[in-house]
Amino acid sequence: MKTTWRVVPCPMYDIEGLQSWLEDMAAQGWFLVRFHLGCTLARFYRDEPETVRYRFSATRQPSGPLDLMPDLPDAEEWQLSSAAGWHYVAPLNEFFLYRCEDPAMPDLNTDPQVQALSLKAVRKNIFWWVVYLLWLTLFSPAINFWGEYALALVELGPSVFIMLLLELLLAAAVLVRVLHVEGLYRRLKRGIPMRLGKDWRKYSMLHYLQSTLPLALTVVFLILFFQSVGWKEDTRRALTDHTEPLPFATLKELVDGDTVIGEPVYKDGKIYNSISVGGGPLAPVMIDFQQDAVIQKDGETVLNAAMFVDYYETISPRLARQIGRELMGKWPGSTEDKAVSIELDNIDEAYICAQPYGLLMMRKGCRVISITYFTNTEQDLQLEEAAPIMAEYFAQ
Amino acid sequence: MPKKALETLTESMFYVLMAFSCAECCGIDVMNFVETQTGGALRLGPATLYTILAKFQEAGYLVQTSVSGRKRTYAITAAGRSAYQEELDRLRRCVAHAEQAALLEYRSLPQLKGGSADENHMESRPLPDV
Repeated sequence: MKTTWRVVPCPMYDIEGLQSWLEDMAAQGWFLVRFHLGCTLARFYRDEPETVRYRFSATRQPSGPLDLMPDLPDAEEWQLSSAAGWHYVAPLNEFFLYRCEDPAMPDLNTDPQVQALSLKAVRKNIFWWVVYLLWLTLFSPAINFWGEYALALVELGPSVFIMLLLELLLAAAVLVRVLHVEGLYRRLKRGIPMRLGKDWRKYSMLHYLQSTLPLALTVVFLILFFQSVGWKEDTRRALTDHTEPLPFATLKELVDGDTVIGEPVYKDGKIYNSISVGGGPLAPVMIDFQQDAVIQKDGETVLNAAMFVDYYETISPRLARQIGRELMGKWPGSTEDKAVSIELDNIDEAYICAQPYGLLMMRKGCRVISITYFTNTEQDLQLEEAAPIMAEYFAQ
Repeated sequence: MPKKALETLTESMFYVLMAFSCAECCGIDVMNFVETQTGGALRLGPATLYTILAKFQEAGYLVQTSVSGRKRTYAITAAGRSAYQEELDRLRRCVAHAEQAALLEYRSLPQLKGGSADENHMESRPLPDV
């Protein structure tokens, strides 16, 4: 038997459009075998072109919360429909599809108000779609970014916008679905029968777009996400290999040393004495800097310390300010509350915290930096003394 | 207690209860009864009948009495009979109102809008208070 596949031109919930499309296909000699991949593809077999009626009937409700949606009509439903000239064809989510070749037989549903009652299972599912809609629009972005939306935006770059667009598209699709089902229910309840011969071509292009766009966006999102999420590791290199000037002071500049003793080492899950330089549309320069070194001057050790730097050069002062807040939010256990604002020359805003170790955040215009500073002995230069030098270099 | 959705019976629902008020029967018997009783003016679609049977069972209007193969037989309950009787009474009242209205002198109807009595069609007349 000759068969063919077709992409379904209507969404699953547009049962009027689907009925009409299937009748048009039958008029061309193609009769549905089954829907596949939800309601994405449909398989047809070839026969003599015929005028037939296709109708969907809502399935009975599952008897308990753990019961699955039935995938076949029950014996009585089968018997009644066969007796009235309607043959079961295929299931489609909360519906069964029937076909009738005899135009003299009554329609599958002859009372719209009773048909509205049969949509109970379909409407019940709306609740879960609304929950999903809320998840997409409210909870998912909140959980994804968890108070670090500016950092996520600059670090993940365009992938975040694509994810937001994807969520927006899905939310719109869910909303349309909910409104469509609810609209159909209300029409039937008022006694208005389903529209027969609905023009399914009218919105088919929109449906194809709505089906394929999220898929394409997901692929783009995944590519961009994995590209952006690994920028720190992808661009990481030893400090000794980095020769370009840095927009902030390193340990060497703090004490005006002449020798730096510090090889790249892997410790506590971090690579010390390394640097990653990246950039994106919202933050053209992003630097992750980690140094743990002994600084000498004229053969004498003048500083034995470590510092971690997160540096962002953004496109707007407002974004830099928000990033500064979020960087402070990442400071360990309630240190954000202990941070005090300090005045530093040529710096727009600065916060310092000395416990449990030195933390300093500075912002100037579109640039923001967060420095974590450790010293090995009390004789070493402490953060309070180092802060003005750090500010001087940062402000340049 | 009937569910809210069934407080008003549709025409199909009324005829289904009518069928069961006569005898215990199965879905196909109901289909045939309704078609015969209405002279073919009302034919129940299988999905409509199936939904009504399920809703009536939920509402306690019908109980299943036997199953033989695919055939299920139902009987009307006291609640079903009462719902049928209430609807019957309501329809009788409607018919009585209509008959009373038909006996009224046409010219005595209030709020007639222009034209002679002969020019006005009955359907366009405002309903009198009865």
